[in-house]
Amino acid sequence: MSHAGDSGRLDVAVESLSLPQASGATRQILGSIRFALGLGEIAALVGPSGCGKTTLLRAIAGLIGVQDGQVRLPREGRLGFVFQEPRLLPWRDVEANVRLAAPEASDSECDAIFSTLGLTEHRRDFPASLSLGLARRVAIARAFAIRPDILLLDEPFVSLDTALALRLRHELMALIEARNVTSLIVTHSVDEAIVLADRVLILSNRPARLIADVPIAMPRDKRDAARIAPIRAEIVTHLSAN
Amino acid sequence: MVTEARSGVLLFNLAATLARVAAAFILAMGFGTVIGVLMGRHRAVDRIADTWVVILLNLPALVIIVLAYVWVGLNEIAAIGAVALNKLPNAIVTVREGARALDRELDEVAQVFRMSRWVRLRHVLLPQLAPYIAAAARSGLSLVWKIVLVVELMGRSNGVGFEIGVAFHLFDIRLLLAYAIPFVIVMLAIETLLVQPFERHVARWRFRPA
Repeated sequence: MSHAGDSGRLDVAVESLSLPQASGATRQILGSIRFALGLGEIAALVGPSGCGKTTLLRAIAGLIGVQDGQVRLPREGRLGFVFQEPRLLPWRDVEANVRLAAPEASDSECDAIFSTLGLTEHRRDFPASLSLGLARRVAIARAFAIRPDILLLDEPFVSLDTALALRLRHELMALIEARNVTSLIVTHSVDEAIVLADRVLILSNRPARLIADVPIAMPRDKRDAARIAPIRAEIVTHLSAN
Repeated sequence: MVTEARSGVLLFNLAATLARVAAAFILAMGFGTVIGVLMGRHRAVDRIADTWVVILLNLPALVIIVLAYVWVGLNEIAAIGAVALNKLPNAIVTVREGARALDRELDEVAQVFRMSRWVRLRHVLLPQLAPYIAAAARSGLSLVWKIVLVVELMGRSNGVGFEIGVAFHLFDIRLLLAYAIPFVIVMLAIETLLVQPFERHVARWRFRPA
């Protein structure tokens, strides 16, 4: 991982990535994946289940090394990560969970994030007493509190009911747009990808290669079921082709 | 008991014993925690140190005490060192289990959010180890109490253990009880006033059944 380029720009050029398996053998998880995101761009990463989406996100975050290829993050760029599970510190309350990750965040910044995500009343709660939806919001608050240049989200709305997922999606978009954060969202839902992203990146079966990069030019508020149907069909065709 | 207390001898001996307990306990818990974490997190350290831990764990307390007095001399360092060495493997083994059970997912959170070493230690690592440290402290305190008395009996000229030795030689049951009873009271006080509140504090975030 090296740091270069403009702030907020993410360059991914992975040629291959292999990981040791529990059996002792090494298995190739990622193949050739190259893309770049400009400042404030939002991309969704879709692909068959188990294809390596999470692995790619972890490689971008520097949690696993890329053997062949590189990931370029902006110089001194801050990286916010929303894991698939909320991963909060159970022994610290909501506010401490956010502030420990973002010691530089001011009180007013924290207040603003908490109020956008509806967490103001829960600041003193411990994670064990939160519902999954609330815990997810805390994880999102934590990622935003560090003032990220790049935001990585790993299925942030999985296993939430539809209405709650929809509301959280709106809250997330409000934060991303207000702060102009370059974002990469892993999802298995094609609809979610189309509603959220400026671009949809489609990965193949394992080892995952980038097989298509579908731009979505339509303004976000115009993306209703009828209008997105053709794009949806295009993405589904790509997904079923491999 | 009253005569011993009036003369101040009781208090003096009790204080001498408490000081030894405290010193040995702090030494054993400090080294035990550090070595336990290292052994739990690094397989190489575990492989090198494991045999020694097993040896220490099974070596009779008396052997360590006699060796310490013979090699180091009949002094305070040997006394406290011998007690600490008896307790050390116990602390290591317990804390090592804790270090093996550390949550890798929270480690990744700390890494991604570039938390400082201090924050990682204070807010990520220690809270996970706290139940194990508390368990080691509780079982360790009782062990240290018992061994300190033996150490005092064998090679010190003050302390509760020494006085009990005197009582034994004189067959003076009253003197023995005069030391044993205040000793039990102090132990219970430490357990209820220090150990238990500490445990409650570190477990305050857990969901308690009503």
